[in-house]
Amino acid sequence: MKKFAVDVAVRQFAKKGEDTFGDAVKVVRTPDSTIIVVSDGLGSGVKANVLATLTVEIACGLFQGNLSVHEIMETLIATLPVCKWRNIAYSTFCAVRIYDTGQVAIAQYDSPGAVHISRHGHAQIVKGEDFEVCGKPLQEAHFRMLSGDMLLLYSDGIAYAGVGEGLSMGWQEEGILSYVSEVLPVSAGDVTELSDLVADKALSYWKGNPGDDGTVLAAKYRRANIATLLTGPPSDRTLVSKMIKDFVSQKGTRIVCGGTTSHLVADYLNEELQMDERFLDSDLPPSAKLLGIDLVTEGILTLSRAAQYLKSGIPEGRQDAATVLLDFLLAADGIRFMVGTARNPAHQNISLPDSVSLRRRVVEDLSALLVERGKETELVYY
Amino acid sequence: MVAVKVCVGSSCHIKGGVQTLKTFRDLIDEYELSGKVDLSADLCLEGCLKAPNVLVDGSVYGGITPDKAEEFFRQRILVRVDDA
Repeated sequence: MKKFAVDVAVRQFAKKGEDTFGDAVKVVRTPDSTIIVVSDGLGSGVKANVLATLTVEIACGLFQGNLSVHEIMETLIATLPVCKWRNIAYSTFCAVRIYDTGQVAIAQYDSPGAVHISRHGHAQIVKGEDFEVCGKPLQEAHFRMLSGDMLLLYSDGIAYAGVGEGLSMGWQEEGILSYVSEVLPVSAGDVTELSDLVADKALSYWKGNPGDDGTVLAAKYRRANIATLLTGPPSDRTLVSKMIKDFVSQKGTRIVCGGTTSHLVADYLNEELQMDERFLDSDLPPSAKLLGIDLVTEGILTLSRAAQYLKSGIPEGRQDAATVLLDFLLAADGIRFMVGTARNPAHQNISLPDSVSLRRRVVEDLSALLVERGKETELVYY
Repeated sequence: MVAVKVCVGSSCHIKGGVQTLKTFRDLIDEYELSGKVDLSADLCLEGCLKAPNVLVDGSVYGGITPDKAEEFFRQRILVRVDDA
């Protein structure tokens, strides 16, 4: 399971009078990295959007195929349609690859300087080496991010915010750097907060009438949140102690789903289970509290309901053990399911709803839905 | 104090364990027994085949569906309170 994760937030606005963004952004997650490309297409409106979209699609695709910047540039020049007025094919780009190890590679073509913000709050423009590809000047930089570090990418509509509206040279890299340093404590390291703050400041310099399309992208490299969910006793009762030991030794969020299982864990920890009576009026069994464990719920009904909520959404205002379980699962980057495969004889005899079958099927269903939501999952059977 | 636990785990929940628990809670209020009966829920009392299960002072009773809850309360819980 991945030990590190990359959070990405994007905020965009269109040039005044346009409905379509002339900038484009694409983020691709590969097994060992996150690829981010921001592009500013020539002009504005639909034409700019087409150029920028083509650029991010091509650059992302080729980066995934581990092609060099040289080959990417050649392909872009050969592919982008030529503007009949200006007689050039053009869009800028800033392509970033953040590997799970923290290694970062950035290639920039005519785009304003990316900002690297250290986890201690020091912000600086990424300095790269200049080189030429197909007659075009590019910058390439390689460095390493530590857990908690952030990157801020932005387009010209941010760098030149305010031109013609009172700022003769626009906001400029230095202005952005000092603003980022000032608002970092406000954003509390949250990528959405930071990208919103920067975009709103740019819009205020434009006095609400942007003279160019604007894009702000904030990315944060951080340690992954792992949740471990234990459900069901093992099929071989002699494995109980091993299973519980494996579970309690896990770091991160620990969740137990199952009545019998929760008693096994409580006995092992020598702690008392306390029912949480908040959800007694819901149509699901209530959750429980156990010192040292983040959440305890009943098993298959709650797991099935959590899967159902992922498929069809949580009804307005609904709060029950499954919504609490989902809060924990969706806050994690990776979820390890430790599944005991003992059969509860009652499950074969009483009329359970159709959605409830064997624990294993329910967990696999939930796991697949979480993968669809971008989570990494791992299933271990006992 | 009479210790009463009502199971609301998977099988017991489907068979009405929560309703049995609420019936007990209402009866405790009605007879003003809050200082004499310690009522709580549990996620497993074992014996899922006889759901819903109720534990009274260490003994498990199965099949205490909501329609049998009041009768059970009178016979197994109220009697103990009176004896105590």
